[in-house]
Amino acid sequence: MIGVAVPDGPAPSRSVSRLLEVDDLRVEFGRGPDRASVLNGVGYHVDEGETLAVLGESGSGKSVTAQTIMGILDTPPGRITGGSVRFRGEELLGAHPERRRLLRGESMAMIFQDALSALNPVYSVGFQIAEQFRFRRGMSRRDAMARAAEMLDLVRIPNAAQRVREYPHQFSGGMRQRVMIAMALALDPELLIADEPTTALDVTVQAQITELLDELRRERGMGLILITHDLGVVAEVADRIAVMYAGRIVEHTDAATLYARPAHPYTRGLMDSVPRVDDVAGAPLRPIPGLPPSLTAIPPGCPFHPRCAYAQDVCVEEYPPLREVGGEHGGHGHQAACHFAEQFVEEGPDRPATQEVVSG
Amino acid sequence: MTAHEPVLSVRDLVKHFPVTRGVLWRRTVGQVRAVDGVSLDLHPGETLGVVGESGCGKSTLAQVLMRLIPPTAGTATFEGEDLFAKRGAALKAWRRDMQVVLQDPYTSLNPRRTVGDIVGEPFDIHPEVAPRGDRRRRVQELLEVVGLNPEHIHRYPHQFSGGQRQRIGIARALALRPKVIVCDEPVSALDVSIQAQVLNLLADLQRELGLAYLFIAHDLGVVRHLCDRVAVMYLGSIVETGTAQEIYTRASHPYTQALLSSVPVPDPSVRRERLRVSGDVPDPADPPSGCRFRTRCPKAQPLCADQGPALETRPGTEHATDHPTACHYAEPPHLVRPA
Repeated sequence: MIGVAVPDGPAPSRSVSRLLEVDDLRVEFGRGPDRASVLNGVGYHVDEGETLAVLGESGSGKSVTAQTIMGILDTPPGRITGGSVRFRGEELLGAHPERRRLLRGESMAMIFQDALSALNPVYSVGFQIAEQFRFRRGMSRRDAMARAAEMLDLVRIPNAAQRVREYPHQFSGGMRQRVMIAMALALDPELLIADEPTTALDVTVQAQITELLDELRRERGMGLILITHDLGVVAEVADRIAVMYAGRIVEHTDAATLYARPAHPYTRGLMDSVPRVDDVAGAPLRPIPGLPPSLTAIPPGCPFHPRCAYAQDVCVEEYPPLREVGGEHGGHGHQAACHFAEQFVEEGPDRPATQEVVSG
Repeated sequence: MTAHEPVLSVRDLVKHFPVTRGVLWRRTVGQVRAVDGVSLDLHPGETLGVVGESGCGKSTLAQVLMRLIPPTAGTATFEGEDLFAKRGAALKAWRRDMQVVLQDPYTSLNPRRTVGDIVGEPFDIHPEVAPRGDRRRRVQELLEVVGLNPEHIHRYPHQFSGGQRQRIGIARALALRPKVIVCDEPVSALDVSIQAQVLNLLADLQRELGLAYLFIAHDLGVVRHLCDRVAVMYLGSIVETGTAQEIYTRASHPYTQALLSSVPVPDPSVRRERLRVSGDVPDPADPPSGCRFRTRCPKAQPLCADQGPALETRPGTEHATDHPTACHYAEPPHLVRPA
């Protein structure tokens, strides 16, 4: 397989500046027969004040990409074998660890799915937030604690002044997630990476947190990378969406286009698989047959071909690079990694009559 | 479907867990009201969805109905017989009729036993169902029914993916040809594409075998897709119940409305009216007086704190609904002003 340089996504307007650029990122785990190719040439970019959603199922590489950007990927077992990550033009891969440490928190921060395990249970939440003000801003304990309370207030935790002295277990799941957001935003980063921030939460709380993140992004003009498997969450807040499969980006476009005219059969398969709450017809689900590939044995050609109802000979032989979708309905920065992308886009969201996809 | 007698009928079911203090002198300082007066009917061949957020008592309800934990009060009948009075041989015989599929396909299968052992274990406990010499064939049939390769009978759970493991769990539940299967969040641990495969399998099995499902889930999209009727739970009680159509198009309880409007729809062109609830679910050990939802409800009035609303249709009042709702101020969604 040849590494394909990924061109820039949907045309950025000139008034915004580019925060982050990831190019042809490659990460492997393990050696010998157990060698798993987790990232196989991932590229995306984030501008100031915009939300990029990275959509994918377990094992698609969306979290590993984020960890590589943040510089928190465990190496070993992970191994970065190629590509580049640039923050405001500065190359991060290979940069001095101390430089990367300074960037974390200050320029880019990350929040995780499970707030309970991301917070330290033996320190008060205020102490954990205040740490950053003390060591990065040289504030006194007292001032730092006061700033921590302000941060809790910013993420709309009621009674912030009292709750700042409480411990993580005294907060509910949604409130803990707010604490983690407060901690991530303490040093006013330009880029926030949110890795499945609402997956562990109940749906009413999920909506609160999604809206909070969206509001904070807007207020601060922050770039946001939202990593999720939930097609619904993505539809509500994303400006652009990158769909990942088997360590690659298979489709990349703005949110409206992705849902109206998906150009990759995998994206379309995902949409047909989701039972929707506003579904009136109650149409039967059309699942994607089979399983995602093992990353130690990614199929040749298009990695999706064994599960694809439209696969042709060329799909088995030749890897389709991520490229601009041409044709009448393509363009506008709509990219897809499928030999037949133009055909899918023309057909629109209603699939043509094909063989009934059987659940396997 | 509803012409039949219900196969499972539950009335005023209550399950409280004591909250204790002290080590040597253990005393009860309170009660967690996990299930607090739940009534429901499950008819043969239908799917009843029980939805609610974590801590609403939906899984405790399942455990009580499976006779895994004793109820505090209330009654339940299975095919007309008192479920909680069953003892000894009668209880064991009943267990064949009601089986369970659990959420986590990783922890609900014994990693040291082969798939053949796991799916065949019900036959060890109930040998009358399948004679010994017949078991291997029966297990292979079951694997085939759930879409697994019957040749894989000697494999171990770790050799299967999450979706395949859930299929193993379903095969095990089907082994004794039950009439009712309690599905406790059967697809929430699975990826979307795999989740759809398992949902289609459950629907196919129901059609072929005439099973009734008590389907417990938090995903409202999944419930709408699979369920004939839906009961919405909040803090141990059912706040609204009706057919899937009634709940999803004419929800009249503010909690149900908020729940539905909180679910993100995978389509950016759909912009719905948003009804948001503030705060978190209150502590079930210390629930609010009157209506349990009043602390988060945008419509709460003084009456709500004084008096818990009954689950009823309120005929003849301005808050009449076409299905039972536990709200003094129930109204169909188009009357709701944005909060």
